[in-house]
Amino acid sequence: MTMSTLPAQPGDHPQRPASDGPARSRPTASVAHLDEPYPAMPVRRIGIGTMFRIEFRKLVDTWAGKLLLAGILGIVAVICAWLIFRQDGEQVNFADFGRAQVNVVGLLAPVIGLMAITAEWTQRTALTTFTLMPRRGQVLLAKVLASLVLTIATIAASLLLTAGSAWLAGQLHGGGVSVAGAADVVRSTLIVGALTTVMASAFGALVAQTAIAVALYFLAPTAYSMISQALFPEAAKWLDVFSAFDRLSSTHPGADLPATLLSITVWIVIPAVVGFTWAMRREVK
Amino acid sequence: MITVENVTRRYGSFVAVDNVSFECAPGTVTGFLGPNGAGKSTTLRILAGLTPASSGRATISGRDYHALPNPGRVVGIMLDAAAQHPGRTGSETLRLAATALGVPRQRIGEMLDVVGLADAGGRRVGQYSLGMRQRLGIATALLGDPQVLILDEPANGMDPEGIRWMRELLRDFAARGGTVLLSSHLLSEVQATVDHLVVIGRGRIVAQGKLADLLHGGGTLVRGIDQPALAAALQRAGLQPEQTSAGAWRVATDPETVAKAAMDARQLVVEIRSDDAGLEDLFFSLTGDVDRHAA
Repeated sequence: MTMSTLPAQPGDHPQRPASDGPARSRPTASVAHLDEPYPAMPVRRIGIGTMFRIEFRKLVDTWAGKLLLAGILGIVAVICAWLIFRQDGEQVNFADFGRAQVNVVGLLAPVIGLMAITAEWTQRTALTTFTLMPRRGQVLLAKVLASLVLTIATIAASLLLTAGSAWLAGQLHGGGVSVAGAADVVRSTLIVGALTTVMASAFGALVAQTAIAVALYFLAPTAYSMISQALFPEAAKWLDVFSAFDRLSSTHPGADLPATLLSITVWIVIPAVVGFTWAMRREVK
Repeated sequence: MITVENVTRRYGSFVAVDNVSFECAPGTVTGFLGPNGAGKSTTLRILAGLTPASSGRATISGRDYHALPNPGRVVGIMLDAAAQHPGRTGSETLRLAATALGVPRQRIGEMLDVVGLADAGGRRVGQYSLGMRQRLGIATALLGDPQVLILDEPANGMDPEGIRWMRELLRDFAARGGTVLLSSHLLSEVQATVDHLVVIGRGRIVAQGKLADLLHGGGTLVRGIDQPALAAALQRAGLQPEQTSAGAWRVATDPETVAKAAMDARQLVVEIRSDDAGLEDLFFSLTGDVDRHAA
C-alpha cells in the first residue's frame, strides 16, 4: 500500500494501482456519502509552518489558555484604569505609565507556553501529538516559536491598551502625554518577554508538572534573588536573572556582560538544553 | 500491512517485549490479546514510533514509522482514548489533527457523524464519557483516511451497543482492504470482531493464527435422540466422543466431520455446534501460566 505515501493523482481515486493486488475501494468509514470518490487529499510532509499553526492554536483553544490570556489583559486593563483614576494634572509620561503593565505581561504571558508543554505530559496528549508528528524536535521548536509569538502579540496588545489609556489620562486631566522613552519601553519589554518565554518553556519541559513548573518559574529566581542579596550582596548579580533582565533592558545592555551571560546560562540555557533533550528522548506513555 | 519482526524491548534487565514477530495482512482484523502487563501496549508504541525497539524491526506498509512523510495518512492510531485534552472540544481536537494530516475541514464533521458524535462535537472532551472518548479517538484515527488502523483497548468503556457499532465499523474497514490491529485483555470483547489472533503473555507470543484455527481445539458438541447409538456411530467413524457434564458428546474435530459421521449411521442429531465455551479456556490456558500478577 505504498500509494498513500505518494501524492494522489487526479482521477486515480479510489482505485489502487494494479500492483497492489485486486482493485478494492478505499478503506473508509461506513457511511454512504463517503463511498463517493473523495476530493483528492494529497499527502504532504508536515512542515514546521504547519506545526507552528497547530501549536499556536493549542495555546489558546483550551479553557486554561483562554482564561489566562483574558486574565492577563484584564490585569493590564485594571492597572490602566487605576492609573487613569489617580492621575493628577501633570503631563503623563508613557514610559512610566506603562511600566507595571508590560512587566506583568512579560512575566505572565510565557506561562501559557509553559502550560502548553506540561499539558502534553500531564494530559498525555503527547501520545497523539508525537504519533501524528513524530519529528519531536520540530514540534518542540514550533511550540517555543508559537509561545514567543503569543507573548509578543500579548505585549503588543497591552502596549496599545496602555497607550490608549495614557492618552485618555492626559486628556482627562489636561496634562497631555509625553512619549519620551517609549521606544526603550517597547525594546526592553520585547527582550525580557522573549527571554522569559524561553525560560518558561524550558521549565515546562524540565518539570512537566504544571503546578510545580509554574511555581518554580515564578518563585525560584525570586527566592535566589532575595537570599543572595541577604547573604552575599556583592556577588549576588552573578546568578540573579532578574537583574540580568534589568541590565539587558536598560540603555546599557552591555553592562556587566559576564554576569548577565552567566545568569542567563544558568536560568535559561541549561534548563532549556536539559528540558528539551529529555522531552526528545522521553518515552511517551 | 503491519509487519513486526523479532522485536525486543528491554528496560534495564526487564524484558517487556521478547522477540515478537507477527504480520497483519490487508483485509483482516487481528486481535492482539494478552493479560494486562503482557507487553501489548509496548508493542503498539513501538509500532507507532513512540518507543524505540531494543532490537528487531516494526514496519507499516513496509516502512519504518519515522520514514512515513505524514504517518496519519497511512495508519490511524489510537493508543489511549483517555489521553485527550479535557479543555478542548471534540471538533477542536479533530481540527488540530486535520491540520497535521492536511485533510479538508469538512472531514471533521463527517468523521463526527461516522462515530456518532455529531451532536457532541461542540462539547468539551472533559464532559465526554469514556465511550465517547473512544469514539473521538477512533474519529481521529480515521480522519486521515488511512489503510491501517491500530487501536489499543478500543472496547474499554464502551457499552454493548458501542462495541457492536465498532465491530461493524472495523469489519467494514477491513472489507474495503484495510488492515486492523486491535488489542484487548478480554477475548470475549473482540472474538466476534477479529478473524486473526496474536496472543501475548509475559512479552512473548504464545499463539497466533486464524481465529477459527485457534478455536478448532475446542472441538464440537453434539447431541442425538439416541445418545449411546450416536456415540457408537462416532466411534465407528474413528472419532472419540467424550461425555460432557451437560450430557452431550464432545468430539475433537470440526462440526462437519461429526455431522457426516452421524448421517452415515442414520443417527438423528438434535444439537450440533462448535464448543466455544472453550474460548476463555483457550485464552487462559495460553496466558494463565505466564500471567504476572507480581509485576
